[in-house]
Amino acid sequence: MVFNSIEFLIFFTVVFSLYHFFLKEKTRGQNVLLLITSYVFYAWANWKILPLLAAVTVIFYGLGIAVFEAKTDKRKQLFTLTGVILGIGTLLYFKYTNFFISSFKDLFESIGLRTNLHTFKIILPIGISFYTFRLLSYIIDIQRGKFEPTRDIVVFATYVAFFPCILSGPIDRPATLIPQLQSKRVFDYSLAVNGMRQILWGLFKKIVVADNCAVFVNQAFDGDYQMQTGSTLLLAAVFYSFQMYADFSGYSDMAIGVAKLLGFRVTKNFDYPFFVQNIAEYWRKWHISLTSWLTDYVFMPLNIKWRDWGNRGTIAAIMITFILIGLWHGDNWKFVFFGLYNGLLYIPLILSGAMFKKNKLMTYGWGFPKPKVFFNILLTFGLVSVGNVIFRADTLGQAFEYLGRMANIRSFYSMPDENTLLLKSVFVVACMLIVEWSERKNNFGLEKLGITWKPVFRYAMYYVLVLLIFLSAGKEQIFIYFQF
Amino acid sequence: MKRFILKTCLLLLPIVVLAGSMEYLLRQIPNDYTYKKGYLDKHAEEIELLILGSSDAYYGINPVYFSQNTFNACHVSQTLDLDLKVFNKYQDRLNDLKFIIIPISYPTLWVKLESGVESWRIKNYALYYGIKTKSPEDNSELLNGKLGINIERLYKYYVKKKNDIFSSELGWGTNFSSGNAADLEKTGKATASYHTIKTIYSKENAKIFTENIEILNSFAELCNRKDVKLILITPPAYRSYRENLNAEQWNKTIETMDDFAAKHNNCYYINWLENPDFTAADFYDANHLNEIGAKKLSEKLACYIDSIK
Repeated sequence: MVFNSIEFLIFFTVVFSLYHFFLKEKTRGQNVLLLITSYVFYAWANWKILPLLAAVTVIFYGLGIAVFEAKTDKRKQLFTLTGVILGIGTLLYFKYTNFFISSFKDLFESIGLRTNLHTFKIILPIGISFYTFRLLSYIIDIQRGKFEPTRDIVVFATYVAFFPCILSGPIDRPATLIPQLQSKRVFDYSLAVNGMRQILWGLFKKIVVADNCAVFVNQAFDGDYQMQTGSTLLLAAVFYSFQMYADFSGYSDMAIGVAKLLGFRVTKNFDYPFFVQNIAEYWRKWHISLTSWLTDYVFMPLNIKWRDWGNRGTIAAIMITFILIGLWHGDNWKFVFFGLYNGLLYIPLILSGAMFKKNKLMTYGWGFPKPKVFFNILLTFGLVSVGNVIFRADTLGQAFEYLGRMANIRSFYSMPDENTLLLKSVFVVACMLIVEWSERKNNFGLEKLGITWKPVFRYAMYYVLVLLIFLSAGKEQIFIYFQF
Repeated sequence: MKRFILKTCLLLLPIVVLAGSMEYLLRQIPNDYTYKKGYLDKHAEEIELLILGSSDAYYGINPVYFSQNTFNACHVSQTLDLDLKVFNKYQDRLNDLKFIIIPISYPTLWVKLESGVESWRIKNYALYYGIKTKSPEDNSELLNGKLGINIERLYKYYVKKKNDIFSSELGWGTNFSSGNAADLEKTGKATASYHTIKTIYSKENAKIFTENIEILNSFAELCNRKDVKLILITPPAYRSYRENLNAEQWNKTIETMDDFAAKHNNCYYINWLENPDFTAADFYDANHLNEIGAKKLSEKLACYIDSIK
């Protein structure tokens, strides 16, 4: 069930009514309702994946208490390690077993050894990467003394399966969501309005921007590269970056907006990642809940451990973190390479000491960025877009073929193929970028836009957005991030 | 809370009213589905030869050339599962039925409308034939088409007074004429590539294949019970299309259909994909016949049917 569907509209209207009218301010009842509806939402696509979610929830609930109550540090570590192995093991089994088998098979065959290895028929539970990271942070935070386990299994199970976030994040930490689940929730008018505006902005990004870009992008990526000009491939790579951003951040906006309607403030997942001046800033603002998770639980411990090695230690920690980011996205070598590529882009920043530096977006009085800032933004975007070609291509070989064709000087200087799809993509991306640039100090593009206007103009803006959404809706594109 | 609900309702009210009105008006536009359903409702008892299937039969088989009372109940992209659903809806009333023709083209055994890129067409079966479908969204015109296209349809019907019926009185598709034929070379390569299933043995494709064979078995059984002859035909296609077919997929289709026909006494399979009687002048595009080709194919089929009577 996706947020931009009639099924979800009916589902959520029922949940919202029960939650705010019949169970008004009854925390326990609301949590039970949230748990049941989260499980229904999760099982909607395939009920067979529900038992796994329920089983790991019960196990981690018990492990959380065991870690907290363990008398010695050794026992605490033992229980934590059990949880980490179990969580990662489950993820590895369901998501990567066939990848490892086929990789070994290919490796052996490349050196002339025939093997009898066969892949298995394993159902990939949707959202497993997201809820596993929630479970892991829960157990690690308890071990680190940052968080006390909840004794209420309904609260814990709802934290793991919270329906707005289970399929595509954001990946909330226990300290963000569990205290909210434990406290009384009173309907907050301004939060609900803010949530509705965020949902509207998310729908605009997903349906108007991402889906329109997808048509142009798919033509280039799924077609025959040799038939396309370098400039067309370059534009498709650029628009794929916009598509990916609008798709994923649009979904996150909808998830956060839905959570706000239920009275929850969940983790922000994007902070205008294209208005940045280097790759480190980009990754601090892109899929924030994942990158901050890996920073806290992988990069920082490794960096501290290897601090005596100086920059070499930081580089090693970054490379490992980015390989994991790549692998988190899927069971294909192209994702490993995508991670490596992004990790390599950090090296100049680490060596120059600019990795943690925050760059100010210097602009002219009329709002346009100053030349150096603009150049840095374009350069970072270009580097990110090259990485995204690796991400989008079916295989690593296809990615290189695409990039090679794109960089072919003769073909590059040719005009892009005449295409109305391209013009449409340019228009919708420009609309999104103008709004987001002017509103970049707020949490999302539509948070404050038009809030001080006369109601008639504000409502007109809403209707224009709705009209654009309806004009673009119809044939549905699947959310890119569901596959992870 | 009341303020929030009230304001949300006020904001949504014009959208809901407008959407509801559009939905109502769109459903009033006569189209091929309403026409064919109306015809079947009225004349099911008289039909002796029923043509089912997708665009290749919709444009390629014209009922006027048959000696029997014939009706073409095909629609663009109508897959076997929908053929069976349409047939089941009327089977109790098809008392005079002697023959059924179903086209089996290159992709037929691996496709289902609901899982393909043209799944938006499913709404026509839910809305106009009253066939049950999986998603509630299938019961809406508005949710299954781009708003721009729907506005155009409303304009065309309510202002220009042109409806969406493109079939003849007996259900044959009339809008692929020889006068506006497409580029046969270009469409051949592109359509063959579009019709080629990436991996016919993948889990999902194998499942669709099995389900389609089961549907054909159900047809054979139903026909047997009603003493009806089932004719499965691969219609002719232009050279540029044939040359770009995947051999594995195509061979599997022929093998399966030959086996199927051999297994069922009342079933016949005709493979006219490469029939030399059809030349470039017979095609609208590489895999659809125009009115000249449709006449040729229909007359050949009529002779064949008379020979197995």
